[in-house]
Amino acid sequence: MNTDYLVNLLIILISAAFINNVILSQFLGICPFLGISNKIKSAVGMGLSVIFVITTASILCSLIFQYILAPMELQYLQTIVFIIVIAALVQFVEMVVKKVSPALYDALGVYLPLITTNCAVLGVALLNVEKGFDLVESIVNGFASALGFTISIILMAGIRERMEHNNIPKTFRGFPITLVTATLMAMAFYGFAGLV
Amino acid sequence: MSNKKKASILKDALSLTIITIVCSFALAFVYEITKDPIKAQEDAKKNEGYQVVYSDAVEMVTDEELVALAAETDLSTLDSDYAGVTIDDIIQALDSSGNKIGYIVKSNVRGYSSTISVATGYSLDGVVQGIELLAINDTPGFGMELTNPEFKDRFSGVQTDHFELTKGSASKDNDIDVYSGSTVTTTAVVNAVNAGISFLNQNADGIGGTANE
Amino acid sequence: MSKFFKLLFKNKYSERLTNGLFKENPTFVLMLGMCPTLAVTTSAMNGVGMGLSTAVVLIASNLIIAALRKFIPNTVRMPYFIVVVASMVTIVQLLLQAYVPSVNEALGIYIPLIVVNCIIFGRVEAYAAKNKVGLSLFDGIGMGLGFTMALILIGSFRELLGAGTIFGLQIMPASYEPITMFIKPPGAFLVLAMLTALQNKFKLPSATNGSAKTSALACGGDCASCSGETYAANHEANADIADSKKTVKRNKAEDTQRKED
Repeated sequence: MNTDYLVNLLIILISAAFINNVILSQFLGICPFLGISNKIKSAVGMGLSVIFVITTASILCSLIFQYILAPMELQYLQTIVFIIVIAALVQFVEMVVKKVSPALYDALGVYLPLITTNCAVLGVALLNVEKGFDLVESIVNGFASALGFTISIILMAGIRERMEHNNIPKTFRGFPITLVTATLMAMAFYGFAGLV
Repeated sequence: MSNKKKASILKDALSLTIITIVCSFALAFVYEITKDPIKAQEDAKKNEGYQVVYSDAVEMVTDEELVALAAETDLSTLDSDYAGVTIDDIIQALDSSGNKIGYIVKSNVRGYSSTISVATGYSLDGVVQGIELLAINDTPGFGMELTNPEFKDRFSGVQTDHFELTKGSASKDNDIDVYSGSTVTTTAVVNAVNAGISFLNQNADGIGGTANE
Repeated sequence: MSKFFKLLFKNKYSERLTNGLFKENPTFVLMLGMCPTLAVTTSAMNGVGMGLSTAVVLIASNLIIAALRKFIPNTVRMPYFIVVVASMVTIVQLLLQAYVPSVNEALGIYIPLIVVNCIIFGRVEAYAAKNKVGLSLFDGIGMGLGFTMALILIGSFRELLGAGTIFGLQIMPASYEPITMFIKPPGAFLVLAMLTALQNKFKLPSATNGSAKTSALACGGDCASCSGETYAANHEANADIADSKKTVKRNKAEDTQRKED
């Protein structure tokens, strides 16, 4: 039973990070993926902030759903409650980080305000509920999804940094070539589907 | 100055509170209106699925006693493979003259990315009438292959109390080949079906002792 | 005919409609709301469902915010918008569940995710919060229909290539072997890549090649490069150059890893 549970967690981890990659197969968080992926440094910063926020949001939303919404049969309020929780959380984290560690704020602070409207955060919180995950599973799923996000955005940034000096046909410069790259990455990640 | 600031914070908070309350009332109102239609839609969908898995059934009656029993039973005591499977609906299938001809059992199991609900039709003499996946949201193109009639037909008409998972070497009637790329999902579905029919074999009136081996 | 068009563009209400449908089409020109655009356009029918749901949410939110615009304290306007938009989304979701369950099932989690669609917040903040109810209503209708139209177009295209059908009707000859990839995730990116490439080629107005006016929106309009890019870039300008050397090294390490993969 216990090992079953751990195996289950491992499956959640792998499927959330690679197979159901939030960006490349679920299309959540496309905006930062295309917008902040031109430098590895900013991609890393964005990725780390997202990991932190999604994991925390998963914990909070999962707790709220299990101990407040579900017992009171208010499941239909989940969207509104989750988005408020996420917005407040991001704001709060920003204030705390600014006060406690200015260095960290310098590194990650700029990305925090952008995360509220990152649909990956709300998406993961909703998916946790939809799939009936308990608290631990929600945390694992949240962390792994965010990890998947970070992996794809860093890979994308790496590719884009190298492409900068390539001679790309004029028509494809900028946005189109980024999307073609995303296409190829999505195909590659599609291969993970056979893993589980 | 600080008094002014305080007053403005209060005013902001008050106006936010008001809009939130108004919105909550609006939501509660819409929820009340849509509650019954949503329930009706879900039931209709379920019944459609039930009809598919037991085409001979003319009438279907929920077996409250077995449903209550199933809710209390830890299915993993029947077989450790059934850990995580839950049964939340058991229906008696009746023929046109009102005689019980079998059962339909709805079992839920965690697939590889979501919960899968499987309805299984099972006649009194232990023949699986058919299975239907009522809710499956697995990765499109992978777990979804299981919604193919081909996969579901493997179960229909088989007299057994247990299906065996095989890897490409299905030889007996009660062997089910694992779909490559959907190992977890196939296993989950087969476990759900097995759990459903073994629960019926153990507890339902008129079934049992007809295993084929 | 030209008189008709003149009238269409002159009248300030109908101008809002044509603005949303063509001039500032949220998908093709402003490049907003990319997540649902890519995710649900696997068929034309999904495009209709998603487009109309979003349109309803946008119209309702625009109306409410425009009506309340004088009462909303500036300091807490964002939470205000969030509450209103999220309520509208939930109402739409409940109605879909009750009366059109097939749409709700096909779109799944992307219905509640309308909350974070930048089109809604963009319009509410940039337009409805500053304009009269009537104009905001038409702005919502225009933008909503523009989004719906775009989703139907992309959805039809993907469905045609990926399944040989449009709205479930067989269009391609029976001998046509569907290119399933087009209704899978990579196809979504590819279609959008081609679309933006064509816009570049013919120099069509689009946020992606910087030719569209984007400043009208609160978030800068351009979803793709909005995400704080300039903000982040400025921030980085202060970082010392030594970092870039590290980046190159990391780059190489990553590269070898990719090769091994």
